Amino acid sequence: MTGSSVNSASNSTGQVKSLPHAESPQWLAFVEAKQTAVRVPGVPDWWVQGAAEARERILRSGFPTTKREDWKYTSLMPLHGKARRLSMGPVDVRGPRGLQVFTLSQLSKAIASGDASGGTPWGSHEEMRALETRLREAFSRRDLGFGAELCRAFVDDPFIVRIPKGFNAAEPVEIHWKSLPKDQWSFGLAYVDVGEGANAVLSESYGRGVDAQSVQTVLHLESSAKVSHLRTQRGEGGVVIASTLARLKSQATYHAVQVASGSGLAREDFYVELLEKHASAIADGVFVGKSKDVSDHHTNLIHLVGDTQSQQLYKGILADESRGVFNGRVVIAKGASGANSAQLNKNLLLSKKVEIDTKPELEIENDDVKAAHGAAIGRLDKEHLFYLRSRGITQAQAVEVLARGFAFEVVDKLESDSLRALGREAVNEALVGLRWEDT
Amino acid sequence: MALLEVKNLHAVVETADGSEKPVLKGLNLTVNPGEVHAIMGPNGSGKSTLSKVIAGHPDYKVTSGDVRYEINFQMKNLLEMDPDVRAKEGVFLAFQYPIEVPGVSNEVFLRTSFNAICKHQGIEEMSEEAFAKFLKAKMEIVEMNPKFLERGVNVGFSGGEKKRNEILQMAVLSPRLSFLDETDSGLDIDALRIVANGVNRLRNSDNAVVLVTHYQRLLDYIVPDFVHVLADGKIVESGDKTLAKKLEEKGYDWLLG
Repeated sequence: MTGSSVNSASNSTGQVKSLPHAESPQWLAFVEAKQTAVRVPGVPDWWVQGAAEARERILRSGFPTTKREDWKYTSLMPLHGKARRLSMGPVDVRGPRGLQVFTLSQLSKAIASGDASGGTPWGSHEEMRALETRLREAFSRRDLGFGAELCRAFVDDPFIVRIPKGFNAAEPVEIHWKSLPKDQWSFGLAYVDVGEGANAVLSESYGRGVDAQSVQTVLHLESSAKVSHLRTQRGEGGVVIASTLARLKSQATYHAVQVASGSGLAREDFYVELLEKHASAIADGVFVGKSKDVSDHHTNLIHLVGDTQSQQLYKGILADESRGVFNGRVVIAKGASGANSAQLNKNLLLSKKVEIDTKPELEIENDDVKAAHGAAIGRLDKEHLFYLRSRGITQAQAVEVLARGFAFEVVDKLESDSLRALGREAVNEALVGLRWEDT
Repeated sequence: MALLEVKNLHAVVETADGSEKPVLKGLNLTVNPGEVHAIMGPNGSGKSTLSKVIAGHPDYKVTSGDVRYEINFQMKNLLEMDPDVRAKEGVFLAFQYPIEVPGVSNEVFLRTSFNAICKHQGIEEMSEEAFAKFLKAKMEIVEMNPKFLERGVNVGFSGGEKKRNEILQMAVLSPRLSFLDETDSGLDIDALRIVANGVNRLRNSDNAVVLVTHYQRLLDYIVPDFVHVLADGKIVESGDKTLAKKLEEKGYDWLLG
């Protein structure tokens, strides 16, 4: 990879308090201790204040329980009963020339110290102030799920990936959230700011080797920006609670593909907001469950204005005793005439002991729109298996070939060759050791 | 030495209500290397069943009888082998209704299958590049457009294209014993000619082909050494190619009466 490379743009700030049971006195003690945490130099007051407020909210309400409608299928009990150290996790960011990577504290310092004519290393004062305003607005939100709330509470200094106006590269911008040693819960926040007409592919990964991890990525797409975004959640038995928000201005296009597997407990809250006319989004995903994995996907496609498009294909592959959740919320706001949304969730069940909960959730406040949705649940077709076996392919291999075909349909829609290859690689990794139990 | 020996084969299929229905009722058949056999017979006589039992379809259960297949000059019990092992040992079934496999490209499917067989037979597996070259030559045998390699297996193929794809698989895998289950059905005259030419080009003195068909038409293109009539689960008449002509003229009633 050529161009700028930033390794560990942010790193552990050494918060070493343990996180006990959410309803225990120790949990309270932890959050209180965190309130007196050392402040990263340069981080603006609003950030510190917002984090303290988020901690207070978490302290008041504890972990969401299955009594809450949006958590009814997924219990956070596995997080209880084990003390974990909380830290902001390390991250690797790299990408082609022209990419800008810095932290909020660096941004604030640059805004404060630069003179009016000189600008900052990344752009004019005006642009940077506008960027800080956008960032502040996005990180003041409280409606983006528990993962976002956790990140807001425990990240000391978020980092910013700026993809400036005119940026156009086929090489991916990479954001890899790294793991911390065992018994740690790591947090990370990224703000990806994509300039007008910029064209970028983004590959993000997390979950690998983690005990517990919460990351949130917020993307802002200026008018006519075009972004393809592969989010690979590749867990190894740990807990992942993640949140993503993409906000699209006029004629911006966003193609997101999630490939999720391997986490013992994973919750994804995914939001796309179509803010202006002719914005369009594809929000696809594949999740693979093995052993007793729980993979919970809450997606929200929000059409705030008319003449906007969203398309969604989510596929679940569940084996052994795993469980999957797909909750596909689509909102078409009042007055959003000519909005067009299509959602499809398909699930392949490979054992009798799996469970899938799939639910479309349509909130449509306008007549003049198209909103299609569908869900399908199927088992492996024995005739398909026999066909492959009659061609010399073993049963185990045939199961993998068929599951791969099922999943590739999602990642193969990516236009970018490099991103598609990464997506296929993620699927191949996810399917290793997939078992089929004759039903 | 025979390639295939079927002796007094009885098989049942599980029906929708869970009961077992007898479908083969004492079938005998011997196929030698280099031969082409045609199996004809009325609807429901067990023609397709025979192909599926030979290939190892899990819905069919053999209740008695014996199927022996020559491997390294020894007649081995074919029924003990898993379907994929049978394929690796050179048994091939061209499906009457080839299955669509979305998301798996035809080329990847063919390579996976080919290399699985290579591995089993102790032959070095082919690289992507080498296989692509090898495949190109095989495609010419069935006059197939290379665009079909990129597509999902049989996805969006017409009936005739699917049948051609079956013969392409046969060409790639070079089986020793091929059962072609109504490969001629649904083909127009040009497609029939292409498929039949393909099969003829793949014939040699070491392999054998069993054609399961309703129509004498196919046998004008692929000339059989033997023609058998299958009725009510067993072979009731065998003869040379003139038997097919006779059936065409007189139907099956004279045999079944």
